[in-house]
Amino acid sequence: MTTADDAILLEAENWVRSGRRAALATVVETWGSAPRPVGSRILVDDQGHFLGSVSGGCVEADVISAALDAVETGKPRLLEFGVADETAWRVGLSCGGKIKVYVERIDGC
Amino acid sequence: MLAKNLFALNAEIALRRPAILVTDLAAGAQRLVRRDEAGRDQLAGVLEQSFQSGASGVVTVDGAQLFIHVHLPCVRLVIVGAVHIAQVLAPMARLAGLEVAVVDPRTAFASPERFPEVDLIAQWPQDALPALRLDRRTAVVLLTHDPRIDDPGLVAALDADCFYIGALGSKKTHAKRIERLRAAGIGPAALARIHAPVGIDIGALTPPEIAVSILAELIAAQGRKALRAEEAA
Amino acid sequence: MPTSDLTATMRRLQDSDISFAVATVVRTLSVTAAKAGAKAVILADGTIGAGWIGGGCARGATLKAAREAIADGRPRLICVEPKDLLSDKGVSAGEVRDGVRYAANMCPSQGAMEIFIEPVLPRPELVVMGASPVAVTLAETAGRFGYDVTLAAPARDHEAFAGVEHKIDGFTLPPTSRRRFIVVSTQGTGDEAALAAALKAEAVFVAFVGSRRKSQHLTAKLRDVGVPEDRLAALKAPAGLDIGAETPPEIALSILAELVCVRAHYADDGRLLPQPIANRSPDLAVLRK
Repeated sequence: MTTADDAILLEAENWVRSGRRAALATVVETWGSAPRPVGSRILVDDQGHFLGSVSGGCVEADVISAALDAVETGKPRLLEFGVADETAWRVGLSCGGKIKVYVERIDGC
Repeated sequence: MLAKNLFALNAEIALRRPAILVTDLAAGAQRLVRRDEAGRDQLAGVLEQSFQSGASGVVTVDGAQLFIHVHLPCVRLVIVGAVHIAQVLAPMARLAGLEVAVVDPRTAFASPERFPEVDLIAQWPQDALPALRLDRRTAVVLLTHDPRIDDPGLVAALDADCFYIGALGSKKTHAKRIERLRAAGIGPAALARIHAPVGIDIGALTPPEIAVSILAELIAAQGRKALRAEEAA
Repeated sequence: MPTSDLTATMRRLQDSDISFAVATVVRTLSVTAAKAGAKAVILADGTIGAGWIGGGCARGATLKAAREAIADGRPRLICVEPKDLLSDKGVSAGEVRDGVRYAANMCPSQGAMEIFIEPVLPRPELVVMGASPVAVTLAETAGRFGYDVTLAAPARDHEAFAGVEHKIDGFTLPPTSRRRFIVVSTQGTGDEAALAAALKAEAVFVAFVGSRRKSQHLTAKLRDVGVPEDRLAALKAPAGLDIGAETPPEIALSILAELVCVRAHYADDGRLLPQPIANRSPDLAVLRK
């Protein structure tokens, strides 16, 4: 837990209390040298504004789009990203590695 | 995630109390378990262990994949003494991901101009520290050279079992400090927990160098990761 | 205040990255040729570059102290006194007490003077190779440790280094007369090219950010293409003191701590480096040359 991770949860509370619709995505498993540890979060609102990071880079785009879906449908999803070494630089998981990300809407306020 | 779980989790974090969020990754069901509730939970064994290790991860229970997300209070550094070294130490500690508070009753030192973006408390340690709730996830560093300010901070840090306690000053200064604290009834085991002279011995001379030697010692003291030397052994 | 020609000399030396020391008479007692405030610029070979601090009486002791100050980077105070005054105080010539080095005044004038000697060294250069998160933190932080920071990375990666003044496209370093420290943190992109360039360049210290396994793999490759054995042996890998650092900022801090260590070692030649954390950092032995 770092101050940055705590700050995301606080901001999530602020967003929800002010009526913004939002989803959280959380890294739940990693293999190899994943860029962000288990528990890392990204907070996304229905306009695509976001805070935090689950991969330090490029799979964020996919995660954000899944989060936007979750905001609409309310259905949580488990995403998996595996990255081969030769494409690693392009997609941001620069040393290879694999991550699972859980995406969920924040409900009921 | 239910908003009420989010709010409850934030409340625990604000009080620096550990909590675990348990999420069923298939069904989406989720609940919050506070530290004092873990013992009587249906997952007591798993949760107790997770609180101990601080590690989050997925476990399989009765065919269900559960994400055990441990939220420990963030590691924090309380600096007693708004001195020159603190001006460098505070931003560097923040860079390393620590929450930082600076305590010094001398308002000439404890000024916002000298310490932007830091929780600055211009009070005596004995007045300021109770509200800060020192705990095992807190490090305390004493930098004033003034026993009237350093000593109360030191005693509070020892009482709270802070994971790292460092005090600036030479071996000679520290010997005198030990004498004073012993006279005040502090036992040898507690006294041995004080890192003094503060920081790892890397030949640091300037304030930034001393700051980095302190942070290096503090990171090592967290013991999150095996040292290379230990892995090789 | 230094006289204007002294200031000009000092600036010229600094601009040319040449080390020197400034000696200032801070106190005199009885008859001395030089008065308090007299100053001289002294070069590393012990010659006076400009200024004057009196005749021969204090000259030997001053030049010796200046040479030492330039070598270890630390200021010092010397006290030159007639022999009988020294013996009154119970010190002998050459002795250091309470931070003051005493020397005997051999001149018949029998004056006493205190001289403060301050080294002025070119800022050492820290070259950060690569654009990983560790490289970014290191490059942005090292300035406050007295380094001139140079980034060496492909130009497309320069964007992340807004606060870094000197940037080189690629990894080829120009020659320098400064003490140069190199940290390679390419994290998978151009590791081999960067490490080869780093080991080819003249440097006091070269370190590689990455696992032991990865660096062994790379050094084996570099050995095959003819990088000399002594250069490979001088490589410090993994970079950073062994403090259990995990996150990029922590790793950057462990490297800054290591650099302090290396500089302290170089500053005080021959002194055994203390073990930072008892029994926990055997790799620190590598720092000893």
